[in-house]
Amino acid sequence: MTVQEELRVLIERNHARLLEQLDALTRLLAARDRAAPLDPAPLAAAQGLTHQLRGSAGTIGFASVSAAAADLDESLSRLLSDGRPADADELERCLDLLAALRRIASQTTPETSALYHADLPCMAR
Amino acid sequence: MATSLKRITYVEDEPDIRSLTEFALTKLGGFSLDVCGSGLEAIERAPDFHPDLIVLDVMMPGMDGIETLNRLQAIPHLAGTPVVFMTARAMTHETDRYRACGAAGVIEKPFDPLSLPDRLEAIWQQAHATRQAA
Repeated sequence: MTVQEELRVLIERNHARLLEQLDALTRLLAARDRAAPLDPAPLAAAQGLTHQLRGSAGTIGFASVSAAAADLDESLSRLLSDGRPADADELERCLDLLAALRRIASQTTPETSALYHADLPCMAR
Repeated sequence: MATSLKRITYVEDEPDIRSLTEFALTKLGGFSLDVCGSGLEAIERAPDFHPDLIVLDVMMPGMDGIETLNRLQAIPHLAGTPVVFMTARAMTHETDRYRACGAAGVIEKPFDPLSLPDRLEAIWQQAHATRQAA
């Protein structure tokens, strides 16, 4: 397997994981009673996952997914710093950001990663 | 201190970033790498690995990057090893804090894995030159 092929396998694997993480995030934030306040514990779990997505999506070459995750990450972090359950309006804003993140992620494939067609520099040390 | 960067201890809890960074540093950069999933692993293994550079994620569950740095620097023969932090939280006040803790450099996440070997080499060269001048 060439170095280029190895990178592509990594991108494919990480892209699949990115979509799985997004599903897990959706379950945390969206699959719940929208009228009920969201407690800090699941909010912290959602923020942690979003923060992870922000970093990993950008590093595997999906800058637009990373930027959308950053918007949600910052919004969830603000809610968390208040230290109280998030109310319905605040959650609705987060759910809008999550919907935007899902929309952007759904348009990606491994081949659309900025790294997929990159020329790889190889250095021997 | 070595005269060229060859051996890196890399600490990251997030598997996706870890696998891509490992690929970049070994396959593209040609470095000898010890990959650790936690600060504790790094503290256990770095003394025997003798790294020229330590790369630490900041936000890790349990022991974070700053505590890991403090504990690594308390190990006598690792005290002078340059440390680079990787973080999504890289506002000016945050990077200033990391440098005040002893970091030789800070790399903001997300980063371009393809240019990472050159960036680490540049940070290491600068730290090496500073140390030689002291």
